[in-house]
Amino acid sequence: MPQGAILSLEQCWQLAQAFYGSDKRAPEWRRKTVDEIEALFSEMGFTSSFWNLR
Amino acid sequence: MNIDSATTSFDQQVRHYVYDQTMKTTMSPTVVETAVALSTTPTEVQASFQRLAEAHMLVLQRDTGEILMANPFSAVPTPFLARVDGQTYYGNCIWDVMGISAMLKRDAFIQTSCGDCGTSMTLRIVNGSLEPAVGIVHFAVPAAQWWADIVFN
Repeated sequence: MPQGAILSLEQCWQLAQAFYGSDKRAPEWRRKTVDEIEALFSEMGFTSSFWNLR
Repeated sequence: MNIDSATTSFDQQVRHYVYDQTMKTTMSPTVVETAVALSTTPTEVQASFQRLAEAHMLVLQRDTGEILMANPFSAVPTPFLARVDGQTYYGNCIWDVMGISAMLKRDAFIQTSCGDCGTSMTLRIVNGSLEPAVGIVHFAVPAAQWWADIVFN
């Protein structure tokens, strides 16, 4: 199996807040688009091919 | 096609009920419980669960069609526990169990173990901050393949 990716606990907490910080009960809630997730990964410094979504 | 557009206003009601119950009680509702709460039939709820699963908003148990995951929550016990306000929630992975604190906007005491050696790990999230702790997080599956087998992932 390939090595995969390693994150610090703090990076994982940042990712958790970014993905789950909004209440899914809200009518306006929607999934993030691929573009939004790619922008988020880029902002967090996740730029290796492991994080490519397409 | 935007898969979110395939869901209906009824699906929004179902999603609201599922998350409201899960967040309040730690337990995801069954098809029948959801049908009773929304004054509809189990068949309608099953179809809605299926649409929500196709839109990656729920993950269903293969044999029963009941909820397995309402991310970040797991409907079944896992090795990723979050104690929040005296209640125990289960996450699907370390990312999700942290996400429980993020979604509830509550402090959490997280208990899990190393996926490699089994050593116990405890984490505390207090006032929106993760307290310093020793450890790393390993992602084995590349991002583009996360939904190919979300249960394994």
